Amino acid sequence: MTMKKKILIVDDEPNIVMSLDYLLRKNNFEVFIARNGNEALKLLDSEVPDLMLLDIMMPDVDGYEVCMHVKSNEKYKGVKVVFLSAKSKQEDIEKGYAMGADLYLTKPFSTRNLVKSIEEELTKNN
Amino acid sequence: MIEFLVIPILLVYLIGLFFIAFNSEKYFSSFSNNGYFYALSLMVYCTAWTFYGSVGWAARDGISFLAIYVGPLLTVPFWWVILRKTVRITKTLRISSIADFISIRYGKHAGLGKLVSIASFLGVIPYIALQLKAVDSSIQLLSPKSMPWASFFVLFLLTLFAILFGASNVDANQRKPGLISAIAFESIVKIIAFFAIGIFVVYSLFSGFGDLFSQAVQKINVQQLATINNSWGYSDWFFICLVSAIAFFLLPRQFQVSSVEAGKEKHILTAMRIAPIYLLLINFFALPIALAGLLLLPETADSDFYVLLLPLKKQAGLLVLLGLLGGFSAATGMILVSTTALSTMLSNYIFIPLILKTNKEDASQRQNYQSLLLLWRRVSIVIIMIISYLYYQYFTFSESLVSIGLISFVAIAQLAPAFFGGLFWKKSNAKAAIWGISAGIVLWALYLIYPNTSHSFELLRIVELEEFLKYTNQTLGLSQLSSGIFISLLVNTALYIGISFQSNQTATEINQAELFVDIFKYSGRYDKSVARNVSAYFPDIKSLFNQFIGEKRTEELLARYAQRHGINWEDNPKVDARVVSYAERVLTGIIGPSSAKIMVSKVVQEEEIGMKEVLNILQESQETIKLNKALQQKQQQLAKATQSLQLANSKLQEFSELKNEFLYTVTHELRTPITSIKAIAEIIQDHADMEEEQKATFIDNIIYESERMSRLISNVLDLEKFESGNQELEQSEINIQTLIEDEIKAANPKIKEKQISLNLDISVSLPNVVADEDRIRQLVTNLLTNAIKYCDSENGQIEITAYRFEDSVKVKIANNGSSLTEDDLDQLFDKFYQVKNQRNKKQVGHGLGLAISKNIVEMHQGSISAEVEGEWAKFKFRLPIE
Repeated sequence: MTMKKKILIVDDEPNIVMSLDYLLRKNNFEVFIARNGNEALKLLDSEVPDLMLLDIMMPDVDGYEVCMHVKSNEKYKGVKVVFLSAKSKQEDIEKGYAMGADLYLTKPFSTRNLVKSIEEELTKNN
Repeated sequence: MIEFLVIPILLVYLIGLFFIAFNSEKYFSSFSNNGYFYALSLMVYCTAWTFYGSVGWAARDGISFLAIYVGPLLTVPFWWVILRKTVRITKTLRISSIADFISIRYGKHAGLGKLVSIASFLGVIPYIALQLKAVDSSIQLLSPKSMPWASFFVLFLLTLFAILFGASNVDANQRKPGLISAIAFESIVKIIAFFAIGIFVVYSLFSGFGDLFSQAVQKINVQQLATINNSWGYSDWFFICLVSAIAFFLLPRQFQVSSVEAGKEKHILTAMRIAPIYLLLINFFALPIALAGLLLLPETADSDFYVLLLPLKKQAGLLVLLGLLGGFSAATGMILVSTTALSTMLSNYIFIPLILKTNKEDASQRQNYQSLLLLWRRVSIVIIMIISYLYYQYFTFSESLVSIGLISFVAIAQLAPAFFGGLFWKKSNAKAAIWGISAGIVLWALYLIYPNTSHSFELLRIVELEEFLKYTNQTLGLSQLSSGIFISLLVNTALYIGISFQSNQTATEINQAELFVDIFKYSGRYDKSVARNVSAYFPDIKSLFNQFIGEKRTEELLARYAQRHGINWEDNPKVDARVVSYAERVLTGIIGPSSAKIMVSKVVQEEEIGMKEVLNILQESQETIKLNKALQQKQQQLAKATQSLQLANSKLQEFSELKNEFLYTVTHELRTPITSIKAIAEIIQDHADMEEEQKATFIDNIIYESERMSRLISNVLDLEKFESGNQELEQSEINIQTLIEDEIKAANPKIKEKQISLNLDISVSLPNVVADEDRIRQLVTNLLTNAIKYCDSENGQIEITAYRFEDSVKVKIANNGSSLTEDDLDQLFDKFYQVKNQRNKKQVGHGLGLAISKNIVEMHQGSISAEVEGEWAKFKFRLPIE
């Protein structure tokens, strides 16, 4: 049995977090949850996930900042960052990729596609 | 010996003069067009009166004769101002005499032209007679046995000369190089002759000035001659200076040479250098010759002819003849120019109007006026000569040369107010000029002509009048001459100025005044400056010209005009005011302004220029300035308008951006619940094995998110309704206290959940308010929900107070734990506030609640505000009771 891949969910909407949590656990991922940017940064000190599902619009520290923190730090090398945001403008998406994101998905999303995309990202080798 | 030579010498001199005039007219017309000729021609001022009369006057009264030259000398510095202006006006308007000048200046007033002509005639005839007397006397003196017709014969030759060279061209405004050359030559002859005799007297009859003066001191009362004496000496000196200065400009012959015959304006500068020297030189020997005459000649000898008598006594034949020629040249120069000038005036103002009047029908039959005009000008010369001769024969025998000359000067001086006033003052009018000149001439005749004639003709004597004249002279303490000058000029000037101020100018007068006084502004574009509303046809203008100046010159002039102004007569036979004005100017030079106007008017349709049009033209420049100012103002206004438009535009842009962002935010806000609903629904669908408990939680969540979505939608719709003004209020009397308590009850679970301590303080006497209950409820819910949301999560406190203030109810809802700052307050009620400030940083809530609250309060004519006090956020609203 292979080790469960770790996924960190960063979102401030409780119902979204709840559904993602259920969905990913059912698909054999180990799930960590942060309810905002600050929590995410704190959590990242102790845990290095394989992938992050990152919302952008959050109080205090926003998703871009979290992404930059992860992508600029050698410690998190190999951590995939997938933005999951309601911000759907082209400029927002471009900005997300410019921050080093591996994937940018917009809300609302399809659960089946999300799981497929996450698995694809994780099988891609660095 | 000499007596037989007198007539032949004069004949030879005249033939020589003919020769010079003829040649320079024919071959050297540009030769005479220089400053020296101009200066010398101005010296036509020095006549036989100078040549013979100065010595006579010096012998009788000493140096007072110098006043005649001091007057003009004092004006020399002003020549550039005065002469340049008269020359420019004369050339621009094709003026051919002083009468033209004054008449055109005062609105082309024909009557005024006539008056000036008559005044000139009255003034100049005695003066010409004076020259005739000098010529005749000199001939009689040297050749007593010559037949009486001899001088008549000389007179005839002079008339012929004047006709040939003074009236050769129908266009009187054209320069007459022949005449000018002859005059310049004569000016040289007279000064050489006078100087030669002076040197002869001082160095041949005496051994220099010292000898002459020492002998004089011993034998005669030199002191009396060397000073200005007699009881009226100084006043006479002053008034003679004054009238001489005026005469230098206004004598018809002076105006002729200084303005009509002027070539270029810069010649005036040359004349300003040469003329003073000439005037000084020609007077240099006057006093010595007078002293010599007094010393050497018998008391019976006529002092006016010492110049001839002194060399004659010593049998110096050549000098006698030179003196004769000098005097003759001085006299003939004056006669030629004066008759030319006078004949132009007489024909233009007296004869031509008469002919045009009597031949009214013929005028339209295109007869040839050219020869008729020349004929009348020549007839005028003959008439002037004859009248002058008669005057000499019957009036002057008792008078000295000097007194006749001075009387002449005073008559001409009457033109001075009208002339100089017209040159520099715009207000004056024709009526003023006519009254001034007329009164001046009447007083002149009364004071200076009447006393002399009454001596000669007993019949004319009126004792009372003579007594009156004597009385005024004594009262003024002036001589007859001075009081005549003083009173005539005073009354003349007073009438001129007084009437000018009293009466209004006509349109044409204003136009001409503007043109004359500001000539340097208008010359060069004169044709355009005249305000007229006219049109004519080219063939008419052409045939009109043909009648007066002949076909050849007509072709020449019109071709040149067409070329200069780029006109094609054949293509466009209709001509405008410009050409009509030109035609008038050309004819003015030939028949004078008033007749020219009549002739041109026959072929022209002219609509009367109203005062309005003239004023329009005068105000044109002013209006241009005004227009400029107005334009500047408009520009500023435009700039302002542009600015405010830009502002409005950027506001619009901002607004439209806000609108877009609002929409984006709304859709974004909608995405959140939809995302949850969709995700949960898919999960339930894909996991049939889901536990019931989990499923129930998920379904609860779906319901919650759906409610959130519908709340958001209804808020957006509410806001749209409020902002578009479509929201209607259902007013009723509501109790605020009950309402607030209800809302607190509803929110109680949340309050309890967050363990918030709530402090409610509602005034007992709180009145009911008339309002829409549902809306006020919405308002309170919004504020209360916010207070709960943002309240400190550990030690939450909420304070609600309500009380009456004046005619309103005031409600305050405050919470602690707020992160609001002063900066946020301005835009807190802005529905886009969150959009603008929390791009990526999300706050709980959707930012529409406060915007809706504000709308609700304002719909009830109330107000809402927020303030920050430490960690407390306080929201207050006020509702009017009714």
